[in-house]
Amino acid sequence: MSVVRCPHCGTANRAGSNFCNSCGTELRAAEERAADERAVEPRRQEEETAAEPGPPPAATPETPQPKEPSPGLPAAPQQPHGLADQPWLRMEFGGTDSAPPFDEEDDSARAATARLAPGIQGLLAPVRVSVRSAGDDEPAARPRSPDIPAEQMRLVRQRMGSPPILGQAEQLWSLPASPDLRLPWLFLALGLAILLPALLALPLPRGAPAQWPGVEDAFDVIQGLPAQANVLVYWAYDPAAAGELDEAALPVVEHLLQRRARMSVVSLLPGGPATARRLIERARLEWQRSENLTAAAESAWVIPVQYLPGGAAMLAHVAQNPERVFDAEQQERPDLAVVFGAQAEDVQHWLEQAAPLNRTPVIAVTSAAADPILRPYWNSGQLSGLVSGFDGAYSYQSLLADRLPRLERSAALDRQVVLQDWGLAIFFLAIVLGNLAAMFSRPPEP
Amino acid sequence: MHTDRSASANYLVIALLVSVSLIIVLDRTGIASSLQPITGTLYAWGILLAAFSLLLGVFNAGWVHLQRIFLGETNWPHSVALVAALVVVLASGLLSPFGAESSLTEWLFDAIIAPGQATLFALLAFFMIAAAYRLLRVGRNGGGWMLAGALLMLTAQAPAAGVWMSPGLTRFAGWTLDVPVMATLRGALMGGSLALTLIAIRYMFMTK
Amino acid sequence: MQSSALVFDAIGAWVAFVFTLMIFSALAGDNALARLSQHILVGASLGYAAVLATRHVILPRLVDPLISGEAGILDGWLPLGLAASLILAGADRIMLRPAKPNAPPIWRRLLHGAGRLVTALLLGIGLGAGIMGALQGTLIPQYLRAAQIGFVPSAPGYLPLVGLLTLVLTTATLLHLYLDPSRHLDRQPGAVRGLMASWLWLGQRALWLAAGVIFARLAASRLSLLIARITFLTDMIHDTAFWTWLQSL
Repeated sequence: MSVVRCPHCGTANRAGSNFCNSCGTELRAAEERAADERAVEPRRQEEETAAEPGPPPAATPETPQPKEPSPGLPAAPQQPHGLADQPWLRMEFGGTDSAPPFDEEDDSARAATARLAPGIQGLLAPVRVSVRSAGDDEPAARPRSPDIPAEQMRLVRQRMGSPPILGQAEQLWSLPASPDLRLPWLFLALGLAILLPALLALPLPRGAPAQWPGVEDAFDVIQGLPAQANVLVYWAYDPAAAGELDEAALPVVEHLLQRRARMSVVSLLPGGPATARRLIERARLEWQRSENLTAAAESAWVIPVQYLPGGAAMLAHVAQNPERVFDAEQQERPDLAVVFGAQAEDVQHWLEQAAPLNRTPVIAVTSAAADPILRPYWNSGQLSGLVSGFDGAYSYQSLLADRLPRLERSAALDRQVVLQDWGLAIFFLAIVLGNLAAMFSRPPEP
Repeated sequence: MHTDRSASANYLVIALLVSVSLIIVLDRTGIASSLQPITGTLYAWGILLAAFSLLLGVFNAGWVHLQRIFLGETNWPHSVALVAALVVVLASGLLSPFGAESSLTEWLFDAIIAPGQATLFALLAFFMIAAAYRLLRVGRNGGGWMLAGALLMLTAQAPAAGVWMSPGLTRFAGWTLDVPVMATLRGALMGGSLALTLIAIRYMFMTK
Repeated sequence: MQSSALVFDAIGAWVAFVFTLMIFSALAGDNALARLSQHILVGASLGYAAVLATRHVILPRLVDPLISGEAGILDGWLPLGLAASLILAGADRIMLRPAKPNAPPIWRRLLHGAGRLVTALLLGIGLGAGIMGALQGTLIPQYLRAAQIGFVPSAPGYLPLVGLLTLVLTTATLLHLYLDPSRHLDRQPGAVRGLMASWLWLGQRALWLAAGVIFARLAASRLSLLIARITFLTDMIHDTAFWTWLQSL
């Protein structure tokens, strides 16, 4: 069977194919070009034969003549079969190929020579490989690489070819023009700024963190829930973010338990269900202790925790068919949805996939980093409340403590509040040092 | 999956992709609510197939490291540790009737997985301070504006600011977060959603 | 029984302590302990994910209903067939390397074709949900809110001004993201060009300011994670007899 090779990836395609089966490159133009070349080739060979006095001496299998590699350079790798007409894949390719340059106005020429972006099966924008030279009539000069010492080139190649290593951060990040401050000193300062106060309980004038808009709204929504309300919980964090999110989620879960809400938890992360179970258990113990309840009386309601793989699209399934995700008991329409998300995308996924389907008010409990990105959703009313970071946790806990005086603030949250000051002070220091170094070391970057 | 495949098979795959997408789209618009049982079934299949894909991914990772061990490649002892950890957790979860809630699996989760993941993410604080030192500079392009935003929020969110700073600063930071930053990020969100929608439609219909 | 559980927990806590230090040691430079701990973590996480996928999804949602006879063709046998083709096609690609990659036997082509169908199914679900989610969850509500917020003339005091500022910044950001001045503004009249250039200027500055605010919140977030890990370590140290002795001095 005759085949046509793709000029982009080298795949053999059936003759007459319009596009490459592997990468989607248009083949018709390539095939026509190949046919033209086939027609021209015999004529050229005849002309060459007529012009030359005799054939050049060919290397025979008995006398192989391997190319000597240049000193200091590795031997040139063998070109893969089928890639002979793909100059852009050769090591020595300097940015131009034999394909004619695009004419901005001529779409047909573009279509004939366009090569498609790799990795996305050529379905998005075409990648322009050929470039127009400055002087159209003259052959384009190969761009010269700057004169870089061989040792530096070797270092660059080694770094580009190896995975980044955290421990060598100082060397990797230090550019020649950057001020000479060793980053490990900053690392050490940050580590000690947290470690020493935590270890030695160093005192610091302590204020209350700011209460950002959205926390009180979240509190009011939960406070307004009827008894035995159905609450759908999307647990979108795992141990990686538990250090921050546990403190923010704890007062909210305590509040839900105090309102006798019936929670059903779903998570798309493998580590999500275990994290959820641990935090809910912790909240339950705290709440029982604060209200002097016996464990037996209030543990009757088992909170189902489901793990669903498949990505954000499955949240639509949770909203549309809760009976197929949970047991029959969770069939009623939820009164509230709470998203505990490490990233803004987690909350966005719920608002995009589930909220338009079940039309349930949503409260987001997120990391501090997600807060600014979620503000538009809170402003548009898609989020009924927003609790974020250690400061959101502190504010919510304070609101809750007013209603439940016996409830104690978690020790971990107290330490967060104190140690944040130390850590943020080091951040200020780093910013000041960076600016001073830039000011005194060299002119500012353009 | 394979380079040498017929065009008709390609069309079949694309037809399936487009029709599944259209069913979901029609159901979500509410135009054809009778499609809901079909979408429900599709989602249920999606959950199952994603679980099998996950298993395939785990198998792939294990296979790669087993090959490293058998071929004696660089760092093969680390691959031994990886495969051993994988096998121990897998055995503890699959052999126990309690699955992931068995005491050994829970112990492994609390002793290895949770602290490991938490510590890896805690390291990001050091990257952040490196970025604060290198990037938040007045002289950089846009650095002054970024620095202003960062300093305002760093100050306002510090708990000690409540003691040392005027309450007006916190109020101003709250207003910045709620008005200009919110408005800007709304534009960015809309731009991102628009781009995502266009890319998805292009992907479905393969327009150039 | 309870005491053995306590010992088990205590050992777990100390393993976690050592494991945390091993990963933190990466800060001092690339070393064998850090690499070892990362490999163990990856292996354990993969194993845990596989356990969860099997015990929480595949067994209760597919295998058990098939065994008990509750599942029919649509919700049992068909997904089982799809999953089998996905697994077999994937395993074939992972484990077996075809001798002639350009001319595979017919069974292999069929198998890989079936695997591609499953992938297309998953991709189709994701695409359909993604498009509608972006429209229904972000684009339309945010557009409506942006359009509404600038035009509330009855709002008291300075609120209309705030609304106008919000609208101007939102559109400026959108324009900055989508408009290329050299392509789109060159042929415009001077007044339009000047107005649009100022608008784009504003959008760019607003984005920079927002980036600074996000950076600060991100710093607080990552600090929280670091604080949680370091306080875990210090709590463990505080519980030791050595620390008690040190304090008594």
